[in-house]
Amino acid sequence: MDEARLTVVAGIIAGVLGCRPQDVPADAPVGSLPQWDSIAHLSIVLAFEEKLGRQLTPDEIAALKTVASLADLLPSEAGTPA
Amino acid sequence: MGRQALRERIESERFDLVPLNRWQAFRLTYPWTRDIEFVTSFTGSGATRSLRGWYREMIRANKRRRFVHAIVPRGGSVPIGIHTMSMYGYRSCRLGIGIQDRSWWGKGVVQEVRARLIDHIFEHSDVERLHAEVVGRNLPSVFNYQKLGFAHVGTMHRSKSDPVTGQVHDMLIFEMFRDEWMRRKAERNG
Repeated sequence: MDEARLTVVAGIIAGVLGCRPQDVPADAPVGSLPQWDSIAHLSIVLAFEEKLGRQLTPDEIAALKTVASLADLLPSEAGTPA
Repeated sequence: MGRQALRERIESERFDLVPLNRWQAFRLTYPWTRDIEFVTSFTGSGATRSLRGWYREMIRANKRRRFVHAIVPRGGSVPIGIHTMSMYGYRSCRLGIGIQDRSWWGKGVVQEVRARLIDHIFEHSDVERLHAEVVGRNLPSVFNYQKLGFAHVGTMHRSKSDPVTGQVHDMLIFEMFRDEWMRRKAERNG
């Protein structure tokens, strides 16, 4: 996992939760941060989809387990799919 | 085992979970079918329901194998949502929940109520497997199941349509077994 993608995802999550990006560890399970409830999760995924430029499929949604699993869905810096 | 306990009033930290019969559940929820956002989240379809149609569609609570509980904030009298449980097959139970009162959204109602009811189910029945099906884009519901420890075990692709929007949905299947719940509970309790 490259740092650039993790930084992007941490920024999105921090923006929704109102915390600092450095407080969003890559291995944090979805919902593990205090402000990360079901409504915040909705906002995070919608913001992520806007960044990604497409909707996640239901299978991708179900596979979101950690912050890193979100970052995995972003294209790599080279522009190829992760 | 004491399945009759499932038809009793149950208390969680902030809520009374009041058992309803089929008629009571129908009377409570029929007005909520006019709330398109709620009914879409609860059933996967925002279609307008007739009285007869909703009576036939709603879970047929019989307090033996199918149960509906109104979720009532402690000290209040107006339900904010409902929880459904339906026993079927081999020691299996299908779960459903809907919170209609928006002032309670994002306040942990689903987590609290469901955790309390799951404890109650496992304590008072021989159910070994909990099961739920969720519209794939219902992000809060997916979140809530996974946070409680349910595993995504399959997807029924393009298996449900909403006649109002014309959208076709994938349905995500979640399940959790008794031993997994007990293991997580033991971990939580240290």
